[in-house]
Amino acid sequence: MKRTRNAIAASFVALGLLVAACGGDDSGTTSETTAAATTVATTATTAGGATTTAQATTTTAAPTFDKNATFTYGEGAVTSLDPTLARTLYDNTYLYPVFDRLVHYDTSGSTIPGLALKWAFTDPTTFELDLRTGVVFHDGTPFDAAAVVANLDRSRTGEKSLVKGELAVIDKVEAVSPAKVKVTLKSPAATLPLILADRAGMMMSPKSFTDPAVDRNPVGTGMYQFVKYVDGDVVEYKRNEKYWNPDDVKNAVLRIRIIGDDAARLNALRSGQLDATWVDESAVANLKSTGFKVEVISKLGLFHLQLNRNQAPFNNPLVRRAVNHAIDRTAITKGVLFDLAIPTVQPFPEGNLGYNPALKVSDVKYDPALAKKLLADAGLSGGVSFNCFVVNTSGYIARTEAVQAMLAEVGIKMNIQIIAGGDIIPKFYQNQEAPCASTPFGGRLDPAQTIGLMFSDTGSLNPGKGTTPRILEILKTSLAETDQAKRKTLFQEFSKIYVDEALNIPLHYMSFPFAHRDGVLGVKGLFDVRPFDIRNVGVKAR
Amino acid sequence: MWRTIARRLLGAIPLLFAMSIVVFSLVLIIPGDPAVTLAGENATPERVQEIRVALGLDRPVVEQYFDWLGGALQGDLGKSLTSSRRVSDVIADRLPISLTLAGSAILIGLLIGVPAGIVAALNRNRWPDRSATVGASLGVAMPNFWLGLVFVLVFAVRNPWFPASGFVRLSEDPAGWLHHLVLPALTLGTAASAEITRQLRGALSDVLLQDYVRTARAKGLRRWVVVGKHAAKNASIPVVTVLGLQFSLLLGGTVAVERVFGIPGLGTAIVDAVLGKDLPMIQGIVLLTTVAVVVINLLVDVAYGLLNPKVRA
Repeated sequence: MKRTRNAIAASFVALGLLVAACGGDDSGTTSETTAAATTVATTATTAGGATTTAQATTTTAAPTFDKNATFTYGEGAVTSLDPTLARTLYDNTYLYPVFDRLVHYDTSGSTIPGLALKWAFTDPTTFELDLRTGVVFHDGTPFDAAAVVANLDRSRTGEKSLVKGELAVIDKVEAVSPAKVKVTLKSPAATLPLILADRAGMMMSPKSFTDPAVDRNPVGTGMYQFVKYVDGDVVEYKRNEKYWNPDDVKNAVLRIRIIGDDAARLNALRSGQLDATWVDESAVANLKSTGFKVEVISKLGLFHLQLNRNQAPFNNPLVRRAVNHAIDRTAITKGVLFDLAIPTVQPFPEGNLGYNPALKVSDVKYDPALAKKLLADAGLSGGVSFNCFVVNTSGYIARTEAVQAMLAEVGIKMNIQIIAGGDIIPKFYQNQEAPCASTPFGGRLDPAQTIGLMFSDTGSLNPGKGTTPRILEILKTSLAETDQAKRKTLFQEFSKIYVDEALNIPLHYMSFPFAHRDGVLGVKGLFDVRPFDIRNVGVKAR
Repeated sequence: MWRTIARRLLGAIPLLFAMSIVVFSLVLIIPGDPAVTLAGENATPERVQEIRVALGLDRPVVEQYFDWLGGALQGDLGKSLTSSRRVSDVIADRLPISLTLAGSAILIGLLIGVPAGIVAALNRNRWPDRSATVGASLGVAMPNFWLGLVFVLVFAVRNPWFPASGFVRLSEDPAGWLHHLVLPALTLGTAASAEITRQLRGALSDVLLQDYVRTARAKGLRRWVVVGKHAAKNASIPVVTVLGLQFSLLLGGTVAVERVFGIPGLGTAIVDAVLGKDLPMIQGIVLLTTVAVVVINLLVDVAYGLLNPKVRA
């Protein structure tokens, strides 16, 4: 008996030793290189140096970067490394390092030069771009007007292209000279510069078009050159030594770890495997208390109850207004979102062309008594009920349940129907199976894009296609107008209509907490939904 | 013996055929339309329809099934809807990772479960037995995703001894491979070890009460010879069954554990495929897993035959 016990004890000890032997340094952890750093005083340079106040502000501290560093960022799944096949805005995190766009935009959402130095509408249907010269793709192909023509033609006509719709307004693209491109439009489209600032404007090497694996082997002109893509694991890049703005490239190697699970990504950051990642609001306090830095960046998108205005009960503006007044937005952002999001009643955030400073949250005050009165005015004093879809994500459900409780207090019964993420388009937008969806909207940089998608009679994100003649007029005029001051007036008018008519019920602007370890510099989000901008981000020299 | 194997193999053919129909039909009831998912955020209904036609999803289901089955029989599981890769290439990349994980978990299960089961059986109703039984109950009861998170918090975040996520291939870096494998394999192996402990304890306890064991002892054979040579062989039959079942369960368990540890195995691939409505990928991986389970069951049957001549008859 004693011998048996000893043998068993020895087995456990041996196993323990085996486990212990496997410990030590984490070979998978990003190594911050200890090589002597080349110190570079960061200046306020951005793409082209034009209207870049916001970016300049973020880099005025002139930090010293370790130019030999490997920077490791954590992100969710990537759908494709071909900009015309990528399906979500989150893919942009993987695409920005390797692809420049014709037009870039800064952290405030303003357009700045990218591969095009200047652009202008010479008439409402003619758009001309002057290109940056001396730029080469990572495979050595020169970037010129012919490359732009090839890219735009591929993007707008390619059989599988997912940006076809955004470029459908283009009739013809021509190379006027090696450094000048002329785009002829079918109809006025003042939104084009910002469309070209997204995936539709990303420039791939024309030589790579014939590569059958181009979606896994991207070749652009960007600040980092693609090295490898291991499915479900990592996308790796190295510095583009010939980049046209070398100061933007702060690392020798960039690794984006693909980690789909939020908790796994958070743990990878906390254990030192990642330098930075985005995290859930609920993790922010704990991260800060354990020495991590968190930048909460309020973004273009918003979370709202999107309504089908052609279906009962939301075909009645009084019911929509009653819902608007029955919701305490501040309580939701404090109670559910840890006070990390900004409540709103209007569709566009501050800094955006459509933002109307006169429309304050306090104007649509939380007033259950008023909500009840509006319902009574609508002849629904006995109450009303409706179904509302929500995608099966804990944070979305929590917000929606808070709204549900508030609406119940004024006699509105909200039946929450939880659905899979992929179902919202067919169930809500196409088949119109419920009059409401409690959902985030990523937003678009140009308000005309949002109005066209969500509030016009042809908008693919407008279930029921409910609109008004004035909204259609605002859209049409803003597309033909290139004077941004005049467009601003139009969009602000739209925002007022949106609030007065309670076209949708916004809760708050989307905000994404970006967390990073101490010693990481320049972390910022773009004025967009969650893409991480690696430009000017790196590791502090020791 | 060979006749038994041949009979089992023949029996597997209708089973696999039926499974192929189930596998193909499963994806038809997954909510959502792959064309909508593929069309992206700004798609119009017309664009969605174009994609549906381009993918052949507008064709009759029976026609789609026989196309797929014909390809599968020739080893062609089709092309991913969301990338340029062939399903078989993705499986070839990912399967070794999941097999490594499941194999390591079985190894850990045996390393812990066999000694614990023997000790428990030899000390029935005493404290080693009770400890092993309580430990085994806990091991079976704990969900592996929870246990994985606890391991990560304790051994990666609080005490940075092991990486919290990721995988390194053996060919790239053997030490890194082992280092990355320890926590996920322990996570998966805990439940397996618990089940092996329980089964071995029960089987060995029964065998040790048999007359032939008493006779062997009466002959003056040493205790380890009686247990190791005479009792263990008969007690191992239920353990072999458990091993077969555990391997199948572990293949399924890798889905959660790979997610928790950010491991790019087959489990992660199928989660991504389901979220992206990548039908050929889902079908390919589920079909492969089904075949793997059938093969494992066949191996278990063969092992029965080797261990127990009565089964061969």
